[in-house]
Amino acid sequence: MYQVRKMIDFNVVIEPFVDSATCGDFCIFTEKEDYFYLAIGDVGGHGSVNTGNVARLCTDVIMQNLDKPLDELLLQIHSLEDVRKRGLVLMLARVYKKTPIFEHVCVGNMKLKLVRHSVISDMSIQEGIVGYQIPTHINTNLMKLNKKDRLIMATDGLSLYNDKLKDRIESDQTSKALSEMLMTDFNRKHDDALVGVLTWNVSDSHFVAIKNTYQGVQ
Amino acid sequence: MTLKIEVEQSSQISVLLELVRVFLMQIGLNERIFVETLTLCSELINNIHSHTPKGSLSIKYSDDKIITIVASDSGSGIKNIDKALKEGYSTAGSLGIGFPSIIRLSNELFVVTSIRGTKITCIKYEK
Repeated sequence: MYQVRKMIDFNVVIEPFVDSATCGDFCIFTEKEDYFYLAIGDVGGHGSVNTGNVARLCTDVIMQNLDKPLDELLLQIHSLEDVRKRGLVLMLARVYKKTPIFEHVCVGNMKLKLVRHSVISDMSIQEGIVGYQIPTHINTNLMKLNKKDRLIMATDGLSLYNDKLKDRIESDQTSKALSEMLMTDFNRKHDDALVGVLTWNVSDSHFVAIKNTYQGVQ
Repeated sequence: MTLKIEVEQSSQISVLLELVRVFLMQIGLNERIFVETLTLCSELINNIHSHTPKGSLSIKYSDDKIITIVASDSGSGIKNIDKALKEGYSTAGSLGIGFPSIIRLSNELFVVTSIRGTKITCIKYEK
């Protein structure tokens, strides 16, 4: 009916401080029937096998619970014994296929940027550390995606500042080119580092067409 | 120009919508934007009235011809977002057209929801 893969251009670059086995930064990007699922995490510490093991544990738990509400899954991960020992920064997100909505929860020191019409703004995050202390209520955020929106998501291994970013983003860059450039130019080099870029490629009229198709109008 | 109205269980929706209609008329929007904005406000007011004990709606029209509508409530949040995004889903026994319509009618939309309430910000461009 429509080509889902043309909707999203996503790329992630991870540079471990030591190696992938000890890296605390992790990313999941996978596709379900109704949505794309995106998770980015940063386990406390780097260069330790324990840190890498907790990252793999979190990845497994998330993959087993993709259909769970995002706030509930964040609370579940918060209660994991191994996460309580190290702490975690975590963002869980869905991008819906039949309506242009990006849904996310995020607790901890992560950079989430929206680039829209060449303006960079910070997306909502909540202070805290998953496993240690989280807010009393987890906010679930929804945002309507507009064509050519870019979302930039990075762990604290990169130092992304809006004023420096603004001059580096070009409208025709692919997510791959932009994420690689950001990693090269903004990696602080003393921690695991992860940056993901998501570009939304469809306009509102696409979804009106889908709705009409479902109703048999077209 | 700004309008702010409180929405409570005892509120007469028709009275609130008349306040919104008069405010939007004063702005002097073109017919399409006027109808879409009024529909948007109607959906938001109905959502607050149907789902929550109390809330408010504010409409701001700025010099750059942008209409910002903010609906806030102290309800228990959107429980099942996946279902709320689907046409025809309702937990209040209504037609369930609310949220998908709000998405479609907004040029920009931001929602924050938790067990402490929901804030919906809709932005419409007059141009």
